[in-house]
Amino acid sequence: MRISLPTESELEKGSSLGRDAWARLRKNKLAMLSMCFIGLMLIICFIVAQLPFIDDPNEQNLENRFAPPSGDHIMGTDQLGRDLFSRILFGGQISMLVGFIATGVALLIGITYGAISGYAGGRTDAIMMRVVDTLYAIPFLVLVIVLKVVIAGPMEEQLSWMGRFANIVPLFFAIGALGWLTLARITRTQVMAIKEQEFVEAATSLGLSKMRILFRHIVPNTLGPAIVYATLTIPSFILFEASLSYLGVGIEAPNSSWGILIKEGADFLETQLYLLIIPGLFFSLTLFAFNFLGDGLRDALDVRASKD
Amino acid sequence: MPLLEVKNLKTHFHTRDGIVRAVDGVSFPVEKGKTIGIVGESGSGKSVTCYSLLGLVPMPPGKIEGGSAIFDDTDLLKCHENDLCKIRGKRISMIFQDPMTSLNPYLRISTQITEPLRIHMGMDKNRAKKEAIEALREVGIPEPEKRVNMYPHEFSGGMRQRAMIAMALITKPEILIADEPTTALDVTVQKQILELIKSRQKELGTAVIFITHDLAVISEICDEVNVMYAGKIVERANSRELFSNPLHAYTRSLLQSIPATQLKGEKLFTISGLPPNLAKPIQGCAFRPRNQIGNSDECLTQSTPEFKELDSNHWVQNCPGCLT
Repeated sequence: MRISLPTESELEKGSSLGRDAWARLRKNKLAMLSMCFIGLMLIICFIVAQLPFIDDPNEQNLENRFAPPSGDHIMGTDQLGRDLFSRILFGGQISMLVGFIATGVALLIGITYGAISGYAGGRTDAIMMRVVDTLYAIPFLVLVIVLKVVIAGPMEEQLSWMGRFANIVPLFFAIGALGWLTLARITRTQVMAIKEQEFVEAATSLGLSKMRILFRHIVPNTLGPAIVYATLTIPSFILFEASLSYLGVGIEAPNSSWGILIKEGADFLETQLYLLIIPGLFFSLTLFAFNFLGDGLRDALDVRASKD
Repeated sequence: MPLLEVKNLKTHFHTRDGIVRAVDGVSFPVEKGKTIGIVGESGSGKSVTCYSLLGLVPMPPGKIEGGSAIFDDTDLLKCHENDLCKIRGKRISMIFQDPMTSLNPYLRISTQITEPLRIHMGMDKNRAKKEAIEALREVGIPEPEKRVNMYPHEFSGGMRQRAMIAMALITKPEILIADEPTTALDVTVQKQILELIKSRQKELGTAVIFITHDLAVISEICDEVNVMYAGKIVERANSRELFSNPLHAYTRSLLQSIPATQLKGEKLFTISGLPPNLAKPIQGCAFRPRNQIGNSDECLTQSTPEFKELDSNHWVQNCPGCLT
């Protein structure tokens, strides 16, 4: 009988829990498919959109309004004769950016805040969590609108180099800066559970400072649930941008986002159905993909199912 | 002068059910290079005693009510957190009961072992890693160059405890606190770990405070033994004296409970009842209700028995009922 020994490279590297999770995720076909889809979307929106044969999304051609899909305009044109395909690509850039940047901001604030609150415990924790409760109680929409107005003014000048993104960036931050509440709660609960574990005591007995213990030993152990939640936050922020744009505080014309395209398409529901269906398809498939990926990540990062 | 002198340590927990006097007036010296054992039932205050020394008692609900622990002219109990951080892991280290949970699952062994070197000695990454490999070799982990890059879940229980020992000793501390380091391991691995602690101690001249409820382990490793009951030390003697001439009824009952010393076919001897509820103040001798070997009628009921040196270097709680 031959016993297969681990190869040299396997022995030297060791497999981290992260790598194990990646291996499990790779076995999940739906999650991998979703990830490829998201990757493809990113490539199409950000790279393909720069290619020369893509029409200018804002170029109007009033002679050619509501042209159905054809060789010239593969997805047809809208009510102002603009090429729908290129509008979807450029709109996708904004929707994706909202999702990713706002989630990044939310992760950063939420994890730091929740970790400190959970680790400090006692009165500090109580006060920090009451702040979160208070923010929860105020309607999100109102807060974002206020925050956007407050930070957009002073920021706009400094951001002028960003061109058409200049007036969108404050929106990202406004959404992200308020979207961290749930993340803070999730992280806090995780930290409270993990800080009681023996390896934290062991780390203390080694003379590590509190900050080092918190951010080096505890926080990495809490990232699993936070990452899963984040993948589900991305689509919800994309949706949120759509509703903000609908109210007129989000993206400003002539820029578009998927939310705006759907809203415009809905106006011509009875006559030009494709104006609603096509952007709707892009939007919902991407949302699905993020949700499936989130589910897959949750399963992959589940510690109870891991080999230890 | 002893390396560490603990005097009248009192650690209480303020809980909903009242004040739990987990450690209530414990004193013992730790001499350089010696091993002292602390033995007792679950909940007798062994671990809390040692946690108090390193400031690991969660506060609140815990509170150190009094006493001192003088280590190199510093009182560990009154020391500021920042100063304590410079002693912990550098001059006094600790190993824990369950090696399965006392290593961080998300960090490589190398990262964890080198941490004390990097924070206490300011060593650079490469040198610290070399030291870590050496340390793993010294605790008997094969192929340390490769193992050092692994994660804890790729180690067996015994290997993890070896890694913990390597980590605790990497800064060559003067005192090593071992909190039941062999309880979670199976018997053969236990033996190896005890041998390892002994040999590392001999090489480094470290003093060891060894907490356990296993008398066999105590007899094997300790120079001096403290028997704890209900937050107090009831008897202290050097290991040979304690096993050949136990004085206190609790110590005698413990020794009699070792299954190997009992006749086959006989019902095993056990100490009946439970340790007293430490949330209620104890009047007189704490062991009185469970004292079968001595004469519980003669136990003190009004005054707390005094801790006295009855023989040379043999200290015991002076309660007439427990000494007969």
